[in-house]
Amino acid sequence: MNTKSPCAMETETPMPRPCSPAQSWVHEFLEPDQLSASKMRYGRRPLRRGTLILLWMLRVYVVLMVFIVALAIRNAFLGGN
Amino acid sequence: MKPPSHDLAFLPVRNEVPIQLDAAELGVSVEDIKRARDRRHVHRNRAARRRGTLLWLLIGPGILVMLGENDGPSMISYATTGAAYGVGFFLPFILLTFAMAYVVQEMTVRLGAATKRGHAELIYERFGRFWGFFSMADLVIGNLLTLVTEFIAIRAGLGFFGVPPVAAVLGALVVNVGVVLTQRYWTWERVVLGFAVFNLIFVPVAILAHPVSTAQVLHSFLAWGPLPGGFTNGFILVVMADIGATVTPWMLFFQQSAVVDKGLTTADIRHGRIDTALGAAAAAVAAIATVIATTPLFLHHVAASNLAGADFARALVPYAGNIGATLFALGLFEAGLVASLTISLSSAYAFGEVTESARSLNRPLRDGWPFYTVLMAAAAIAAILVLIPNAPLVFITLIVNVIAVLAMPPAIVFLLLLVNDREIMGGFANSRLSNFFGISVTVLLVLAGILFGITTVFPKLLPT
Repeated sequence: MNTKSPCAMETETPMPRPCSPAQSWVHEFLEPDQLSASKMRYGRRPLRRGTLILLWMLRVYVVLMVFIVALAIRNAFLGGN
Repeated sequence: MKPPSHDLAFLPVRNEVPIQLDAAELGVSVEDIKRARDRRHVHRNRAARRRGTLLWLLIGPGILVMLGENDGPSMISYATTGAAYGVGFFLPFILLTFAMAYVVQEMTVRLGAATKRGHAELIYERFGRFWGFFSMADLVIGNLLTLVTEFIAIRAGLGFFGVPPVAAVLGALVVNVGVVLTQRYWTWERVVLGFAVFNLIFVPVAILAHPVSTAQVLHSFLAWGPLPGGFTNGFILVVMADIGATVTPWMLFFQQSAVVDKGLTTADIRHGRIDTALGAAAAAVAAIATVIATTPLFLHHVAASNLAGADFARALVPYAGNIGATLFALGLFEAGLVASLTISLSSAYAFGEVTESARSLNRPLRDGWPFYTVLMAAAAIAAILVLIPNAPLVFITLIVNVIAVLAMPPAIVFLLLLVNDREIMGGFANSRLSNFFGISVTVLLVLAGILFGITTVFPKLLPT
């Protein structure tokens, strides 16, 4: 993980902006990824086929169980009447 | 060249915090400045080895998520457990559920501290828009249902004191809006922590009720019993409700995002774990106290299946006195209030992370208006639904905790995928032991759900 202050890093712009003391103060206490505007994006991580199958199976499980919960509630109301 | 007198960059900043920092001039956001101020206190106290102050500064997300999960429906679930089963099997079982919650929530601390990203944001970045929006939609829908039950609890708790529903619900909404408009994570956290501590109000209720001896309570932890009635359909339902009272998807999203908003780093993981453990311990104590507090209803064969909300408080008057009943009602109100604050925030965090917009309580209102709008709208919509005449509130209360258990396995799978991702976690990825516990929790939740499903479809399989 990169903990160098962005004030010290080379930037993509031809003329790197010098940091003011106040900017340095903020950078002193926050890591670069904690700054609201400067997070580096993580790349996409492709999901393996097995993982995808598991995730979809769990989705189907949730949908099925919602119907079963509805059935349970119906049984509870009918049992109470 | 002499610097202009208003040039804030030339103010001495190492030893004094500048009174006013112009974020636009400094190239950092107001959110960054507020977070840096909080982190400055942490750095100073860490350097000075002031352990007590350091712990005070770093606790928050863990305690809030655990005590926030002791919400309205959860406390009703625990009350129902005590009224139906008394002191016995469910005391150690509830302890086990909080151990499960710790295992899961500790991973969110590491994820947030190592990646500096919220849960929805990580799912979105690593697995793409589809899974990111899917997870957010799951969360927002589940949270809306849960928020409705929180306002039901607020209404019921204050209803015990004769407060009209509209006043109770609007009052809670005002608190929600007021705390958020401080536009400061630290302030929001400390205020809500102050409310959350009152979750322990169920302890004096248990003491006032004192249905059984301390020896009997300790015996139940060792013997995992008694279990009156044995394994029945009702037992399965209470098991599901108690698990759902402890582990729910919003907790993953809230704690990780709160860790990021608070500015925790990998240096703070140890304190994050302590924070989570303290929260789990406090919440377990409150939950177990609630079971003990309503045990007199079991011992005196009071039919508890139709009790809801403030009915429990009224039913406790003969056994815990007016003071005990009053404290119970206040606890119900607190449970709903704290949960309404934390759950609506978790929806706003997820929305901001997936839409790549503002997602911090340190963001000013004018910049972060979508974030604040979602936060307040989530609470407001739930509040309005509660006030609609003839709304199916009992139905929603019944299904919320059970659905939370059912929705957990997919959420934990994403959590395990992320926390084992060494590209983003580095040396803070899961160990084999952590994976063993994490997978065990997932399997247990799926099995509980399947057992519930089987006993619902084939109700004659077990005695009623």
